[in-house]
Amino acid sequence: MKNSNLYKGSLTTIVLKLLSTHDKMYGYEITQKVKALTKGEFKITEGALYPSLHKLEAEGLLSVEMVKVDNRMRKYYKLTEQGTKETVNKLSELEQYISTMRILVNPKFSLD
Amino acid sequence: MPKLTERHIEKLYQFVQQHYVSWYDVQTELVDHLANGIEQQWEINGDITFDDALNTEFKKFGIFGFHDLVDQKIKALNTHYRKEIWLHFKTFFGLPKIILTLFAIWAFYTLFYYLDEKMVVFYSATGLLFVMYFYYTFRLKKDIKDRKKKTGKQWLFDSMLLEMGGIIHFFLIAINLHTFFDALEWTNTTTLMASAGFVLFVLLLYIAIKMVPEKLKRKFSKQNPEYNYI
Repeated sequence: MKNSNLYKGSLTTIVLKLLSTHDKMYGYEITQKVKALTKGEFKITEGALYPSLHKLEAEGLLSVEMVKVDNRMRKYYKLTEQGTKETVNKLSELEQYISTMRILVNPKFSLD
Repeated sequence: MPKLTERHIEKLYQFVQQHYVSWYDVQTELVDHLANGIEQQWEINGDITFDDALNTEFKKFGIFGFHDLVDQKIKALNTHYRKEIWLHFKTFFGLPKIILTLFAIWAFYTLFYYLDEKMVVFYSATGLLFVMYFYYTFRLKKDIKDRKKKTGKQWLFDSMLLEMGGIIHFFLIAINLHTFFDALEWTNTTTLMASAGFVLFVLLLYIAIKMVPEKLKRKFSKQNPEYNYI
């Protein structure tokens, strides 16, 4: 199941949701957090995460902050006001999708 | 947790540079990512060499390395630039700016209508456009050169400004506009259309080289203090 295509379409929502529960996060931290939360079931690849973050930043859903940590610069992402609103929409879309899929893969037959 | 030294960080910058990422704003994020990955490996096994750990981290970016990532970032930045142009452009069709837009169209219409030497109006306005454009690119190129000379850093952000989010080619069609205006039969309708078209073109150029870069620079400088040396 690891790195299944099914997860890929939800990457943006996953990133937005994670950021909604943290003040700010950096790329590597996001990959590790997802790995830990899913107990290794879903690993975000670097090649997918950064384009997604950059796209969200360009769309104004994320703002960035450069902070010097140890001996290097770190780019932190945080949700903008617009990003917070979009997170609610995306989560609602995802929940609707999950609910529809549940009906499709596990239909309840009735005599009505 | 074992930490990377300054020397290691320098090596990582060289590594990403060797893998065709020459922009500092892109390099920095990749360097931090690789550094975190290497430190994580060292926490599990302190015997892994820096080079081995780096290769393991790099492989996670796939067979094309950083290429796709950079490509996607350029696309995202260009889209953002064009979106900003469009957002500003729309404001010229709402109150109060629409008065200015309509006035400019009326002014050009009047000039084209009453003057026999219509191409003089066209050449003067186009000439002014080119002066604006060349001044903008000259200043920007000088800034980029100065910034690179003083800090050794190149920024993808600057490259995006220079390319105007990829629409620079659209503006270069102005070079050929004279053939269109020269061949135009000047009736009331065509004069009005030519005036409106010309004003919209000037408006787009003004937004692309003046309003949008200023707004984006303010935002980028705030986020990246290292960009602000000049």
